[in-house]
Amino acid sequence: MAVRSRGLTLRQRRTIWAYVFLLVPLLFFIGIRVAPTLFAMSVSLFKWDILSPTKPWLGLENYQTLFNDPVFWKALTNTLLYVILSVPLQLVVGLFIALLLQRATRWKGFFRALYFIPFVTSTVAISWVWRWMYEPTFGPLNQLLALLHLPEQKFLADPDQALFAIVIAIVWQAVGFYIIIFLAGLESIPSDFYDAAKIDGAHGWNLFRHITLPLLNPTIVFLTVIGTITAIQVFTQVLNMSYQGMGGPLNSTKSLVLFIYQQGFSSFKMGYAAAGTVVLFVIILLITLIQLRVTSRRVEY
Amino acid sequence: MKRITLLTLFVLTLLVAACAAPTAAPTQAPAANPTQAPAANPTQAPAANPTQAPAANPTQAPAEKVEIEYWQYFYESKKNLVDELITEFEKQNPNITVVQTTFPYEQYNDKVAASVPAGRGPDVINLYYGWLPRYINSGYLAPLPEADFPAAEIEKDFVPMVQIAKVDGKYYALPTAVRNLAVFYNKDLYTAAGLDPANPPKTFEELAAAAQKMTKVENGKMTVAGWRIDLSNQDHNLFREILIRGYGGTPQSEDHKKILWNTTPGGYDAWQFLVDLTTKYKVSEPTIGQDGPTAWLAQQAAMMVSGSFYLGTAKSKATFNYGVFPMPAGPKATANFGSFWTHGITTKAAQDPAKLAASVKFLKFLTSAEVMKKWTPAIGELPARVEVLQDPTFTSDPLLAPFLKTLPVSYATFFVDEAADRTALMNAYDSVILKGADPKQALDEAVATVQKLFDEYWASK
Repeated sequence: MAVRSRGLTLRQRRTIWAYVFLLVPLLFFIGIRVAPTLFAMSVSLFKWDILSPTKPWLGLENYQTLFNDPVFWKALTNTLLYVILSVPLQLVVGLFIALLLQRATRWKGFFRALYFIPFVTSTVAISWVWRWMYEPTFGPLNQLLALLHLPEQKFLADPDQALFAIVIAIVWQAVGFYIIIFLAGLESIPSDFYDAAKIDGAHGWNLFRHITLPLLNPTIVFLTVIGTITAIQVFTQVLNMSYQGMGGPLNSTKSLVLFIYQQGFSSFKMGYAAAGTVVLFVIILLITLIQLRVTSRRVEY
Repeated sequence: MKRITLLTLFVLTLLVAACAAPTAAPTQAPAANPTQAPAANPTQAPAANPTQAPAANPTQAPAEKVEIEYWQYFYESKKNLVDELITEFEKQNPNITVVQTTFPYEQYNDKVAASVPAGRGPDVINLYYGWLPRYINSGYLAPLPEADFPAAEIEKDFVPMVQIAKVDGKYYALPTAVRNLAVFYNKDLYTAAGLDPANPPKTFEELAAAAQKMTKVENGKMTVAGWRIDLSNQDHNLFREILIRGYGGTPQSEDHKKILWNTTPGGYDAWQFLVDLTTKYKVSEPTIGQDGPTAWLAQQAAMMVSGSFYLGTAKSKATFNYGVFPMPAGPKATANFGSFWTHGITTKAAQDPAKLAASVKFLKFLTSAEVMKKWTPAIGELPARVEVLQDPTFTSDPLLAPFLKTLPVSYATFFVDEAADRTALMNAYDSVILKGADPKQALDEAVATVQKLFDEYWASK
């Protein structure tokens, strides 16, 4: 070996060392990411009652039960609603405020910090404050509605409104992150493009539609992927904003992750919960693949 | 394209690995326990004891020291009292050290669940009686030794509801205290509505009528509920054991295999009455107050059904005159719901004779009449031994007497999955109140959901 290694070129030796250094994070990654994932997948094939010393083999029975469980389908539909509602809203509102902030010349840092604060605030605290604002009898939102002579709402207590109410709280918190990323994207667009277009007589909407939007494409792709993955995993807001963390009323706000949590840690059906996580894993994988393919067209000028 | 093939390859390897893993997993798990558990204990026990015991007890023969662990959920007054009791117990038994660990109620099951694969956990554990079937079925609890806790003696000395802890002829747990329900009422609101607080309702009809008088509606919005119905707190119990029995039915078949809510005589009527309180009598709204107890404390509700365990909170937080009256009678019978937190010995402790002996001693101490006499004034829960129940200091207490009165007719529900059982009823109620569903149909669906859980449970026995 020693003789042969002396025969390696500098380039080959560098490559070997690169892999040696890569090995450490790789082992770490395998240890805390890949191995537990594989373990969870195997758990889903057993009747894994966490208190019980025996864990009988079930094969795919957990998946069968899962696909016949109406609560699972309800949770899945809710999760997709969280994605479909929150991601576009965050993008539109985030971009809108970013465009405004880009124009602000005074107190630039102050405004940016102000909009970013919710993102770095504890989600649990935010959820409870929103929960109190939505409170039907004495909450400020209903008092405002009463002042404006509008009909008062039940918000979180109404199965038809609760999910939307939670989405608003999610968007309110996440939008600060979107703004900062959009601002970075906007600032990376060279001003020459705008100057050239203005000389050609373009203005307002045309500038936005043909320069800003296409050049923001990588930013939008990034935010959509991140936003979708976060929304699919929504948990904390639902746990804290639904009554007793049940995902109610009538399961109308229950997300897939909350469903998994309840099965695993309240009903102790770990195998069943693991089957849910595998389904979640597959969904996230598929969505990410599709999004990367559809939205990663590069626009170059 | 290249990226896609790589990813598919990755997913394929994941799946192959997942299918291969099961053969490895079951052999690993059991192996982990026996090796870990003994290793963990011997190192702990000697470390804690030598410093304490010899100092306290120089004269006694140096017997083997044992350390046992006791778990309960965190409830401040309970934790403090048990700390005191442990000191007393250790004085009586210098060779035994008891370590108390508490967890918040919401995380309690999670913590137990996490401790099992690690081979750790308590020797004596405090559990809600409704969780027992699951804990017993999974082999977590060991039966109480018949020699130390003879079944005949338990049935003679303890209130009848503890018999729910008897599975296949063996007792798996015993409580220090039991609880049942009564109606908490705001005396100020009673007087304001022209009612006599000294003469509270005796039947559910009277209760609904009194609630109507105290309900306040301003600009079409309810500001005070006469009687706040909250199924996520106690009112699912109100339906199962109190109303169904009150209307002449029984909630479950004798062998606990069939849910009878919609087939027992009076079942639908009991459900209709519960629903009517909101839809017909209009004495409650699901939006008033955050929940039942909060609404009652904020004087947004004049009455609520709650347990003796709530007396402590009421005493420290209520800013108005309040009282408690016994559970009213239904059209056919008077019944109440009883429940209790109970102590069991884990299978883990039962494997070690020294720990088992210490655990038995501690359990006997916790369920003794002397401990009960301290427990009731400190916690508000009722003593589990009949002999202590008849103590005049309790029977003459105006807040405890209403609970004691219906204790002989208090029934503990057999739960397979308490949370799922409650959720099924909550959903049935919500779909009627919030969505205008047909009450009978909603109840039928709840029965189907819970019956499925019961069928699964009995099939796995």
